[in-house]
Amino acid sequence: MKKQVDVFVQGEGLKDVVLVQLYHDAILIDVINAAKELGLLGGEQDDNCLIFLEDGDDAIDPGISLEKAGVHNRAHVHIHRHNRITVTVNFNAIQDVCEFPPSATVGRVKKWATNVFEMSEIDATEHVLQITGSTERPDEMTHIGALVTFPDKKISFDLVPKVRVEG
Amino acid sequence: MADTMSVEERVFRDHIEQGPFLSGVARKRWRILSTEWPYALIAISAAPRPNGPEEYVLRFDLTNYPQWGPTARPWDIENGAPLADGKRPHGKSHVPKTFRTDWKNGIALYLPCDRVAFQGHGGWMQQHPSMIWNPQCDITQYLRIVYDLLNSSDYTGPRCS
Repeated sequence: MKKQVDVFVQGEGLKDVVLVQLYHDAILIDVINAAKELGLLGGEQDDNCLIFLEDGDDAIDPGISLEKAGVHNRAHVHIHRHNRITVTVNFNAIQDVCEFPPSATVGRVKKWATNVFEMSEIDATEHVLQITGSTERPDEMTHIGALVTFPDKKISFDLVPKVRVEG
Repeated sequence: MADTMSVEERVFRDHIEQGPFLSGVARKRWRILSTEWPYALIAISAAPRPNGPEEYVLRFDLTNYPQWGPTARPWDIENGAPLADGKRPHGKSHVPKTFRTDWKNGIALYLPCDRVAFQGHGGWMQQHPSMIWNPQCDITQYLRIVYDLLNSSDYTGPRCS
């Protein structure tokens, strides 16, 4: 019996993580096609998709096998049509901008931002990234590409303090 | 045999087979221990602390899920009873407030996503919109919030460690 591999996918048009189940000898294009059936690209048909390992800086050749690509059982990958996303972070009327791969987690962006704004480690844990102009505070394991739909290629966050739950 | 599973239980069981929940399991953030409707026991990992456990178990009451939000309390699986006050998670600020025992005898977590805690706290809608439960949510909304607390610098370990 063929061995099955579970792959968690985030990407354009997907509201949250989706689980794709494939045989171990599948190739990356199979991951893309399976994710399309689950809502990737919001149902749009476009073959220009790039696939990344989570936090991976470079897209991987979609024609290679899961094993060769390092996509092991229960790995997390990202699929997007852009290779880079421009991220702006605002903090105390200061702003900084950096480019990240769409596979970068919100946690990675936050780490960059708290370094740029010279925040202490303790202060950093008391702040979160909130999408500018909204009340949405994505989980630190959310990939930034999941928050940006092609042809847009930028996103802006505010670095805000966590609000204490009071009575 | 007749299938007597309720719609709510069916929805919950479907949610814990989906990407958001299973991704958290794969990342070792949480795991399901059992479901005995309308209750479910879910273990949530905690950051290492002196004399601290690797995880805390919450007993969720999922009545009318997902139309109603979940409510949960820390649970002692060995004794099949609420976790003793001294073993509840403690910390500097947010964590003790969440796991407080001086409010409704600690029957629910003091969080905006908890349906028992939310009662009488209409102001939380404006103060904590990202933590409010709505019927489109799934159990991971609640789990992510608790996981963040138990893995924050605020968390110091069990109350009596």
